[in-house]
Amino acid sequence: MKELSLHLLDIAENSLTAGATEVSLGLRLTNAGVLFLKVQDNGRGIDVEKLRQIENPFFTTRTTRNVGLGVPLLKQHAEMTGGKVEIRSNPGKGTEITARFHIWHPDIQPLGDLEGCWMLLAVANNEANILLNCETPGGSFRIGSAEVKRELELEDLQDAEIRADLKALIRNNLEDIGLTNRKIAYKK
Amino acid sequence: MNKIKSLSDLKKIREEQNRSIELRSKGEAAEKLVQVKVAMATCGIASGAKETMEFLMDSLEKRGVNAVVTQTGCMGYCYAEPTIEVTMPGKEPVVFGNVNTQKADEIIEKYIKGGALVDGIIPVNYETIQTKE
Repeated sequence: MKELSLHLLDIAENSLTAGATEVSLGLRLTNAGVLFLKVQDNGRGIDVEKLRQIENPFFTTRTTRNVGLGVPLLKQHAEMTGGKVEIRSNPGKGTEITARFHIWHPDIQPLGDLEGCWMLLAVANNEANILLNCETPGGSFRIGSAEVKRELELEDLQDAEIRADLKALIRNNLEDIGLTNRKIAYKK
Repeated sequence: MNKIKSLSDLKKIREEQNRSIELRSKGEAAEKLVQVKVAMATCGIASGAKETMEFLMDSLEKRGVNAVVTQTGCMGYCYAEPTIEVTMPGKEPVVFGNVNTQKADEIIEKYIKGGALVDGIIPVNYETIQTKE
């Protein structure tokens, strides 16, 4: 996993597999340079026993393989910057995973293609509402796939021109609040 | 052109340019479309499934293929990621492994458009990572 946005894509995929109809990708950057990545869903949730094992890379509920690397990788990358991962889940109601990063740490990964990740989730999961909430000291930005389809009177977001325009819309807003790939990832 | 900053900007631009969207009607039966599923679990994403999926969505539309591209979880072929499952209308699904953008291009041209088999098919009775020793 080379970019922070790919972690969001990966965790959101778990949410959708867990039957979520609404998945929120959150990104909050504080004045102190702490970045919180959060995925919140209304899926089936995780029971206490499984929650205890979720950070174990050799535990998974899937039957296709023996490992579950998504959360352990996120945890490893957060801890590499002095951060951590917190998971709260309410069986039957949903799950919230928050990862804390310190953006001035040299080991932080670049933000990557956040708008592209949101777009893929929104296109490939037409029945779900995929939200993106970003907040920095420079402002905030929010978009949701259900709202986009309602406003533009579309049944889905498969059209290439719509996708390109929406990605530009998100990119422009992220730049306005200081969230560009380069700015968030401090590299010497 | 002004930068698009809001949904109303986007709506306005589309109205000005009189752009219409060819909507897939809800009634269009899925079995008449080429269905492509991209495995997007951790193993797939780490191997480049996002780029593969973006390429497939753009290229299928540009080449006029009536297809729907969706995502799925791990199919168990972690050693062959990115993997995709292609279902042609009226045919059995076929899983391809190691599908980078170059391979995806070949699959569109030769398998989807041309109907010819290409290298990289993972047989249905092949071992998943669970059964592979």
